[in-house]
Amino acid sequence: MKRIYSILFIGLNLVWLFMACNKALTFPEGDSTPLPVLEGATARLHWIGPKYKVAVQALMKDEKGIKTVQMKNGEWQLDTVFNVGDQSSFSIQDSFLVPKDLNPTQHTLEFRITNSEGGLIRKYVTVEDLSSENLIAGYNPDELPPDIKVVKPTVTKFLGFSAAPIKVDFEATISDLEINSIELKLWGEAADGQPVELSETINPTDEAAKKQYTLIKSLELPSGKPGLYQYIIRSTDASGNKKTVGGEVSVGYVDRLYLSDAQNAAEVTAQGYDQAGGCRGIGTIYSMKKQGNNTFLIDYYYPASGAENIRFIAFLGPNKPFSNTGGTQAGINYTLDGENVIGSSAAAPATLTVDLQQAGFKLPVTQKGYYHIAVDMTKRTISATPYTPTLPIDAVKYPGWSDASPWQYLAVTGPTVAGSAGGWTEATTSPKLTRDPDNKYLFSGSFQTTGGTSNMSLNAPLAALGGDVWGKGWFRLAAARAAMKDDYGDLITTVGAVGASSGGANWGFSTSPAGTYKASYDLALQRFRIVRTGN
Amino acid sequence: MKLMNMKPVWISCLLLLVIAANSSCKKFLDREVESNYKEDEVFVNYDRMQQAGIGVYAFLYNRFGFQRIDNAMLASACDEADHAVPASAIQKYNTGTWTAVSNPEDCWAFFYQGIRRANLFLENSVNYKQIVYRDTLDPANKSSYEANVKDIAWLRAEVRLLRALYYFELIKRYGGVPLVDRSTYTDEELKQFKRKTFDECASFIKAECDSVYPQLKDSWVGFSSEKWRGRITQGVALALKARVLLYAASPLNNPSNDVEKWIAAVKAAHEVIALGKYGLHNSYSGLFRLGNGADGNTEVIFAIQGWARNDFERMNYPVGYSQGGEGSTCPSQNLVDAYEMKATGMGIGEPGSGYDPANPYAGRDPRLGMSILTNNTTFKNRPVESWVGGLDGLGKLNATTTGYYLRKFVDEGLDLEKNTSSVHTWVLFRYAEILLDYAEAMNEAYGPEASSGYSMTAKAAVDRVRQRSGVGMPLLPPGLSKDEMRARIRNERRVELAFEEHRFFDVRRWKIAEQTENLPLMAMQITKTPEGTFKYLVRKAEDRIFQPRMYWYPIPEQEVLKSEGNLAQSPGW
Repeated sequence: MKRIYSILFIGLNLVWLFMACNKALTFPEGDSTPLPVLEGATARLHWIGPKYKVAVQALMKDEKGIKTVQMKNGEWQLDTVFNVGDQSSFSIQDSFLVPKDLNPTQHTLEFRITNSEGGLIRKYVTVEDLSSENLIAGYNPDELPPDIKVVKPTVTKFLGFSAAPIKVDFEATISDLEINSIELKLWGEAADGQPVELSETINPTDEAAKKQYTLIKSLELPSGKPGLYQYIIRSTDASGNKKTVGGEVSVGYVDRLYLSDAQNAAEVTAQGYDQAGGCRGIGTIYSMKKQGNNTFLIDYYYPASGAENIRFIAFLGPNKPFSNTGGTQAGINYTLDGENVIGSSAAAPATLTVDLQQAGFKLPVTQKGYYHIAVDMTKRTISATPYTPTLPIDAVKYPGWSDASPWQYLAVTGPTVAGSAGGWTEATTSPKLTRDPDNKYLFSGSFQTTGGTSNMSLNAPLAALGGDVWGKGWFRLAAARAAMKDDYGDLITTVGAVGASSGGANWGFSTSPAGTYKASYDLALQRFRIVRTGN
Repeated sequence: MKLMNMKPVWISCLLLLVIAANSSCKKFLDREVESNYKEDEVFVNYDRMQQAGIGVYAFLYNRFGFQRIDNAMLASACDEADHAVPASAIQKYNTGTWTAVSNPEDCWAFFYQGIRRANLFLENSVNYKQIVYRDTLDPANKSSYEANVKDIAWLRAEVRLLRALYYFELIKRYGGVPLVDRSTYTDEELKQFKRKTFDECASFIKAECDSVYPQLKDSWVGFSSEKWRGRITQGVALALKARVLLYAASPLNNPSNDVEKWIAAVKAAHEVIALGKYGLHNSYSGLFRLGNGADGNTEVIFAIQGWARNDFERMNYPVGYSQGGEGSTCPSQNLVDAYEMKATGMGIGEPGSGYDPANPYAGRDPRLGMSILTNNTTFKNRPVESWVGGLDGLGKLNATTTGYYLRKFVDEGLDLEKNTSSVHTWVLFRYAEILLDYAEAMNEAYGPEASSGYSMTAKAAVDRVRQRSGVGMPLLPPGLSKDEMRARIRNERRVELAFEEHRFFDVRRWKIAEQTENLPLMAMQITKTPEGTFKYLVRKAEDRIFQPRMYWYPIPEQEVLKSEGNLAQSPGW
């Protein structure tokens, strides 16, 4: 046992001896070695326009010799090491570029001084901020970029339906203490991949132009095809400050697209108009829903009779087919042959052409039926996907209706509808819209109105109503007129089944003026199409 | 007394005493209700199976959101903020003292537990139709059977997506990790696991997102009396894919700058945009106070359901409020300086921006005031006094260390004295992030203002975020170079997504953390003059340390040791 203790004792002593010999002695025992000294250190932040510098003065001393001096500041990312080489004194008199402060800031420089024996001290010096004093008398640097006031382009959206190149006009006034260059650039890509890059650089030479320059220039984009482009006007001044303004230019990217199925110009001017609501939607033009950048969708019943006259009417910006807000039949802002009309190619009906002489004005199908129509205005194509509509089973809205036993007709009723016996109930003399032999959802016919403003309704057949004519099967406004908006947010009249009537302002729809009307109603699409054909 | 020397009678007495004592611990009237099911007892009916699946959601908690790291937010571990409590473990990130054995936000075991729980559910619910069928033999329960079968089918897809999300949370911290596709392994098998590459893991996550997308529900809003609100939807799958592909394309994981990776990220982000389902909420400040109705908001793609609480307000109300603000997340001057000027859309350091250092919070991006409480802002009916000596200023216990308090997420309407509370929901994916993901990828793939067949350019996507109702920042200037646009996008992310646990990882994936995280955290020292005005002076709050190895977390040392060399430690650790 004693032996074990002896071995342990000797082992512990050896460990102690080993540790003691390996101890890193920074300073010898006894009187402490004098530490390095930092004397008279100053740091001052100066603005030397347009840059900032911190000027440092410092004297360091150490009897044993200074090995290194490290000067640090985190926010300025200053980190400089001086290898002093064991000199007993070392001074710094230098300046360092630093970034501009965003706010008044208190900075501190850290000095780490290491002496030749590994001794280390850290000292901190607060930076005196003198940057608000201009050190160069009269120096007034230009720190602001040129000012660019753009007058043109005022038009940046073009239909591009004509064969002429698109001329984009630019006008801008550039001003600065000294303009160095002005760059006008218009670039982008047509939808077919054709790159466009037009640019011009101007370097004003005379003194007046260097201070203010008026840029007037026109650049031309490719004709007849869609494209998305950008423009910039960029100016750089003599101090290197730069300003860029710009925007987008589009060709063939339309804001609104409508499908017109008017047979002729008369069906445009005499198309139905909801007098009381000041609304369109019961005529011969239908808004298409925009999807993505430049594609438009609509569901449509295509009779494929060969007599169709399908045209797409495009609008940019605030323009739209109708400008009136109610009260008159005026304010139709399009024609079937206008510059904003595009139609299917006669030779290739799945493509669109802006040359109306080459157009066939058909959908790219041969069978009658319902289609999801998609018009891609970028690729200038039309696609038509057939679908089968369904009518919801609803005994109130569609009493007695079934796919197997559809109604034979819809009765036109209303106090001013000729033959309706002055009321809202179907009479034997009431005019009727008769079911299309090939489409159970489509009813067509004609009627005459006698009042300046003719409120009217469509009724399900009296027999199907079981005598309860007030409670069922009414087709009038699907909702209050003010709440009905087309795909672009304009008021529109939608004629739909509403069932029981609650009277009031929601009372049927109206036409104006009095006369004879040709009409059709599509149950599936809730689309009422009327055209005044005469007195 | 030795036991051997005791007489048998004493030994018998001692034994009897022990037995009696043991028996008395069991209360006679206690009834045992079995609540700890074994695995083979769980996957026997719809209810238990469903609960096992829902249980995988539990791993969304504690690793995202409010004050989760020793009472601190992750924002306090990067240049967004400082945590007011110096002793909090979060400070290890700032002092550079975190290690493979001491990582304040270690997630390794946590997310692998979640992944195992997901694997367990997926393995045992394969025959869910038969299991549910056995459970509902009665023909009268046909509709219930159909609903339950549908629910488990959805849940299986959700669990796969959660597993993918947990993998993403691992790889964004640790880089490539082992992909574990079973719930049970032998010890020997476990030791053999090796890391996959980051790209391999990202591909797996992407494939999972694509695979489960058609099997997920598009929305839980308005379904089954709203009781399943907050579950994973199709939008989450697309959003996760967009985020993981953005990370895969970023400089940290794409050192050769392979443009195809950026293009993949563009496509993924655009899929979310093209859904046409999401938009921007009309109130930036209200967006984070939607409670558990968040998933019904047009901007929120996925939010972690929360509960009524007020601990977050107790931590983050300014300290001078009698309701008990304790001080917590102190936004940095570094972040405050990133908010542009509202009128000009220019950074505050740009000539002509309109910035007035003497009145530093006037005319700034409105998101500054919605995210950060600055001095003299009215909060709970009095101005915040962040000035030295003010009610909320330096000198007070736990007062802000930076001159700022957190406002984002904070419910101003609580009365802490009356212990009122409100539901706090953590938004994990939102549409604004998708737009910024898209902008970043578009800029890198095609440049700032090219649409290249997509519905918007990089610039347009950023502009949309900037023009949110109630924010209304000016459009970005045209003609920016790719580098200039990159800087603008990064700043936009910093501002728009502040405190939402993006910045900490963004500076890493951009590989700029050595610059941003080595800068000192700056604070605003505010002095009130006798005239009642304020003087503002920026000072250093603390130095920060970031070393190159900190781009990735270290794998916990014990896991590396257990693997006997098969699991490679992250570089530098």
